[in-house]
Amino acid sequence: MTALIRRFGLGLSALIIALPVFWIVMMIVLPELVMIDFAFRPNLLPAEIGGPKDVYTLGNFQTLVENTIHRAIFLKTIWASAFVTLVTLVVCYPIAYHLAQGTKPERTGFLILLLIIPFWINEILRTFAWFIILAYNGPLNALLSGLGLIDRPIRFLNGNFGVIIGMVYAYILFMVFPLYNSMESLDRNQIEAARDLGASAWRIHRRIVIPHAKPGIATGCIFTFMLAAGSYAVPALLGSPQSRWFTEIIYNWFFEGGNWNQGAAYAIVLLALCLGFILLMLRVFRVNLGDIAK
Amino acid sequence: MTKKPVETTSSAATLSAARSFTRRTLLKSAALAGAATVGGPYLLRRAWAQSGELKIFAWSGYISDEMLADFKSKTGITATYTPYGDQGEALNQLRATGGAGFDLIQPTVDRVPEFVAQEVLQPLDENKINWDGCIESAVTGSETRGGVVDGRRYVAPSDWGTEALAFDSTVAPLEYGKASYGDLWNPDYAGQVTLRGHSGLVGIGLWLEAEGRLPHPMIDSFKSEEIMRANYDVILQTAIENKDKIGQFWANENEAQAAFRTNGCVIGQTWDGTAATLRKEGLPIRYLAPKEGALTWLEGFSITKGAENVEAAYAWINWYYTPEAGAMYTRHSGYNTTAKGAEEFLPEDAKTFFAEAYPGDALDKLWWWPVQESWFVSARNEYQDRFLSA
Repeated sequence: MTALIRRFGLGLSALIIALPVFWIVMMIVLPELVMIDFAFRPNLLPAEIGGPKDVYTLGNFQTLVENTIHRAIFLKTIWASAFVTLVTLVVCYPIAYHLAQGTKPERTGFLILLLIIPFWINEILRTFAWFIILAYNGPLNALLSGLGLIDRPIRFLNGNFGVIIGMVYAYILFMVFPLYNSMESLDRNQIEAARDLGASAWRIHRRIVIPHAKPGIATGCIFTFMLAAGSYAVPALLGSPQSRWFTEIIYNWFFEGGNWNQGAAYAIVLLALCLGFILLMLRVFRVNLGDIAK
Repeated sequence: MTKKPVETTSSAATLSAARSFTRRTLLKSAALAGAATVGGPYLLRRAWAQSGELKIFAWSGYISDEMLADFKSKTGITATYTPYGDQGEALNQLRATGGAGFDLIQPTVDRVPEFVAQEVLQPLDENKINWDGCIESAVTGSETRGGVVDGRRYVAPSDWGTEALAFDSTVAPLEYGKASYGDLWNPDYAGQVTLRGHSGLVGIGLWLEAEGRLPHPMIDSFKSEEIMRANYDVILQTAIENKDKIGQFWANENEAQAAFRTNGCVIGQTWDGTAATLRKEGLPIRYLAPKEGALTWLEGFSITKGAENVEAAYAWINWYYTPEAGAMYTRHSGYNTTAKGAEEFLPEDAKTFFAEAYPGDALDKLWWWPVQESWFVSARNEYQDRFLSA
């Protein structure tokens, strides 16, 4: 604190502190408090608010406990998000490794640019593009039948396939960059030394690259998991009749059912359990928050 | 010649203004500017409100640029159109702002009591509306179907439409009199069916009712929650048994069109406007009322509680109640305008579509959506959720 003031002077330091505080309070803390307040109240008409029915209750949470289908979807959302995270990691690991260790620095910039360009387009549009690509009468089916590989179109948007593809695609950057950052600082001599001593590629990754990149892997996985569990656009556009995501149920409570209180309770449960899941995973993989902050 | 004097007067005005410009006025205007920055958004909104603006919040695919341009040329008011996919979205957005942000919205009449209970609408001043421009049966019909709450009218009917069977005539031909909501579950169309969650359940309900498999009349589901649950438990069971036949659920116009256009569906329960649009594009999609009766709604324009351009909203309604405007609306959206005399201006294909959709006694059999109160919407949402999630 004193170091900050000495460096920037009192005015600028106050501003540097005030802006994030303002952001956190106005954009995060207050809305969350309102949500929590909503979650513990019953759904009432405006005329009834402040009346005898307006009391704190656990009823909204009870709904989730009693509704077996919602409970099952909730659990499915958690494991499916974990699966999306795993697939994203598998896809991104080689990309990040190539960027960090396998290519010349001049080329790295170019490759990163190639990765970023598609993300200049809005996420909804990119997801909708996937809807068109994977559609029953879409270009992918046309290509496959044109090549004579299939007789009749395949319904790609079936089960959870479309949602998982859409999410892996949407969150690639959130995984690649943390991985790349952590791998880049690895001294290449270590890899070469291991190779000289006869280690296989698998062993080099297991003993040298992965331990070094662990904070990056953890950060990437947390980003991806939270984004996947909280994603609405991808399941809404690419979901099939069989794939319902917990966020869709929350959205439904708010915008179709008009029961904001119920929706708020569901949202809070999702938030709390995601946090719990992440802390558990950090413990399992023995990464602490301090490592990630680096 | 006329320009010169104007210029002289204006430069004279500038001169006199410059002379009277003192340190005191500078301070005064600076203070005003400061106040304007603080209360800026509010003041700006007020200022715009008086310059002939109208903010319309309506179903997507309903209002065309042609309509906005025509309205502007007739009234001088600049209307902007923000579409929504479902009126539930509209209601809940307006709840969040206390009924402000838009001037005119377009709910279905059967949901108006719910909008009123959520305090987002203001009653209409009936004297400001030119009712002669609206089909009489729509005006009287809207009264009993939810448009009048506690003796006050909240909606000016704009159009009516239906939800019935849309089908690919080359793969799944249907014939009036035989066609039923049950045809959706024909094994031949397995995996190629599209419908909307909550209204799909009503379609199944009407089918089961006709087959004598429903414990109470379907219409009574809207009267008490107990009957509703008894009926819906049976409906839900049938719906879930057949769920694997569904290719895609739709929740808005765009998704319903995509189901046929790109997603391989050949039959579905959709709005008439959806089928009309696909047909206009040259697809072999046809639309037919089933023997149980097409689900029919009446909708209209309502003024929001926090509307800033109330007069412009009335101007829109009265502009709409002219044959040309009504016809523009039907041509664009595919729904049936309630503006009197619009038929004359409709193209032939719109008339063909209508005749094909409602042959024989289909118009007598229309199944009008009953008023849906908050408890019903909440419970139907629960069943829809169980259907979608199963």
